[in-house]
Amino acid sequence: MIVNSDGSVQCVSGCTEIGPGQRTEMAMITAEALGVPLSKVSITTYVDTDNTTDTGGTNGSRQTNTGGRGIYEATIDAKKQILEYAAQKFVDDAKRRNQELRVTPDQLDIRNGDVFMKSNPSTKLTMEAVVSAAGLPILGRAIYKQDNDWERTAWAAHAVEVEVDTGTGSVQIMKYAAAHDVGRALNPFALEQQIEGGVVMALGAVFNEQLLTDASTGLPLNANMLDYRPPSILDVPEEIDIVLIEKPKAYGVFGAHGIGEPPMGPPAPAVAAAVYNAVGVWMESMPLTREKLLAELRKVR
Amino acid sequence: MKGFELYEPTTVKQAVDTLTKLGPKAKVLAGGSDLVAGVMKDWVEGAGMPLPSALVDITTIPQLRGIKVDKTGATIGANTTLTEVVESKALNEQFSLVVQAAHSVASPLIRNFATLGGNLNQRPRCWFLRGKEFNCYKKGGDFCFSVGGDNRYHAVIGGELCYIVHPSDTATALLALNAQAKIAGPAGERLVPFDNYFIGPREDVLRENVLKPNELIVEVFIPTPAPGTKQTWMKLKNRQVYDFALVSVAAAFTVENDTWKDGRIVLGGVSPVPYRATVIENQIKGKNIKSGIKQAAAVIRTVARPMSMNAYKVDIAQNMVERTILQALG
Ligand SMILES: Cc1cc2nc3c(=O)[nH]c(=O)nc-3n(C[C@H](O)[C@H](O)[C@H](O)COP(=O)(O)OP(=O)(O)OC[C@H]3O[C@@H](n4cnc5c(N)ncnc54)[C@H](O)[C@@H]3O)c2cc1C
Ligand code: SF4
Repeated sequence: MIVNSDGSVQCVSGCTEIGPGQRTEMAMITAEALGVPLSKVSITTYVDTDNTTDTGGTNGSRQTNTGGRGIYEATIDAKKQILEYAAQKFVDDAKRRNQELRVTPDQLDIRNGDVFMKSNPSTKLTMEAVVSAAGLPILGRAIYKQDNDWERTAWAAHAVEVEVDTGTGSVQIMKYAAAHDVGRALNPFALEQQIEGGVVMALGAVFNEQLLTDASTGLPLNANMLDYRPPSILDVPEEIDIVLIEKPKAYGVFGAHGIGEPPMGPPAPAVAAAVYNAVGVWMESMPLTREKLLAELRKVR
Repeated sequence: MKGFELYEPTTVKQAVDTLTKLGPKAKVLAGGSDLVAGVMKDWVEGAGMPLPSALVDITTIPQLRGIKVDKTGATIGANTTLTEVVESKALNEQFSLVVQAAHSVASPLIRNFATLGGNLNQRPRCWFLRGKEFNCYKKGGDFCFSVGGDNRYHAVIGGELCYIVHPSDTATALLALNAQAKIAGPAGERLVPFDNYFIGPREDVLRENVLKPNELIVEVFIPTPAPGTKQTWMKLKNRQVYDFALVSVAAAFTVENDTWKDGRIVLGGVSPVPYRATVIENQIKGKNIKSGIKQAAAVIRTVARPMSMNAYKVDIAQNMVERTILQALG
């Protein structure tokens, strides 16, 4: 990442954006780690490993803690340099006033775009002044290689209330609640959207979505949006209650835990259990279609 | 998509003349949501179902659009959109069944340009038919893939050779309302009650209705229902938007002292034609509805011949008939 002499900050990241706001998050991590407002931070408009680092795929629920961790450590590297230049500038400025001052980087910090003296926060320098004094933009660099400890449990609990129509096999979701331990909510708005989206996507898989093939020819039967039936807005619960639980993780950027895939997991067992509680049949496989449900109901009723 | 010539007649006579001159290679075009965006886009074709090379656009005929209601009944022009049907106050008052059915079609976007004539004459949705690679009976081939294949959505009543279910929701409702189609052809106009309009595969596997290639529906007439007629529409689908009926029930009937006097029960999604359940009507006629409908609805089982994967539709149909009638009763 780069801190320019006008105080603006640029993330150079190959992190791929697949919709949930990963690139916004890269900028947020940078702003937070450096101590500047988000409005000062931009991110390369392209994802092109000719010009950016290879940040790996946005998959495995990991971008926050891989691309995000890389940009975090690069920012810490830049911050270290900035504090050194700032300490020098405090000393030089004092000298110009014929004063003697001893300042070391560890006595300084950055907040809201200003480098300040921890012992006396009103003594401060703007980022612009520090980087201009350095004479060149500051380049923060880091390479973060994900450790081999892949297995980090995502903790979640979903609760669902269903209404089962035993005459038609329709299952209506009345209430839905999803609680996830996200470690630390870096962008709560995006997090809630990701969980909501995951639940909706999962409900499509729970009730309908299945690619069907003709057994004799092997050809697909429903390879279109009409017959494959992803859920419409009228098919999803009106409200999904989302509970963010924040128990910071040692391995996470600011304690964050990945939330990409976890919301997809719990809906199927939650719905199956709710159906069981309602009508006494355990549905063992997805999708939980009305034809399968009616067949199971016939066995118990 | 295959290229085509486009004709834009401004009178019904011009349209019929053009269709007659061009022969079977020409087809009537209304909103195009099935013909162009479905059949032609997806190359649904075969020896018995050639893609048209000429389209005769009838939306350029002003006479074919509009709704008129008088004492005798409602007349709906073939080019009237489903949205116009849904929003018609006059239809809502006395012909709510067709309004509800039209409202359950597809999505607002499609209803805005899909016409009543197009809805009644759309081609079936059997996934083998719509799949390019399956050359089945209906396309002029010599096989029905649904018999040994995945037939979970196919017909449970009246299938033979071909086991499609009729896709049109408005057809189901119009049959229950004892409506009729006015058809224009080279010899002039004729009236065909919907009782006789739809034909099953036994009669002709290549068609779903009596229209000849050079004929078109001009308008639909619905006679004013007897005072106090109960009308209810119920449609079950696997997705709430953009979905055809798994099973639908249209009921229109009169009641005297809780007893069924006269009326019709028509089912969609179960048969190659909108299926009038006379077996149930006969069973409930003259009986107390509340105490008799359960037993009457069960008679559907005597006519149903489910296939390997769709017996559940019989249970659903039975259940929905019972519910629809009770709901209509209030
Ligand atoms: C995603 C999707 C979901 C759908 N869901 C439903 C549903 O739930 N229920 C339902 O009933 N339908 C459903 N449909 C079908 C839709 O309602 C029809 O495609 C539409 O009503 C056809 O009207 P149109 O004016 O676009 O007809 P067109 O596509 O122009 O024509 C359809 C056929 O009718 C013929 N035709 C048109 N007008 C006349 C006429 N006046 N006389 C003689 N022949 C004529 C044409 O030659 C053509 O063969 C769905 C379609 C889509 C794409
Ligand atoms: S049901 Fe009819 S349309 Fe479908 S494969 Fe069989 S013949 Fe073809």
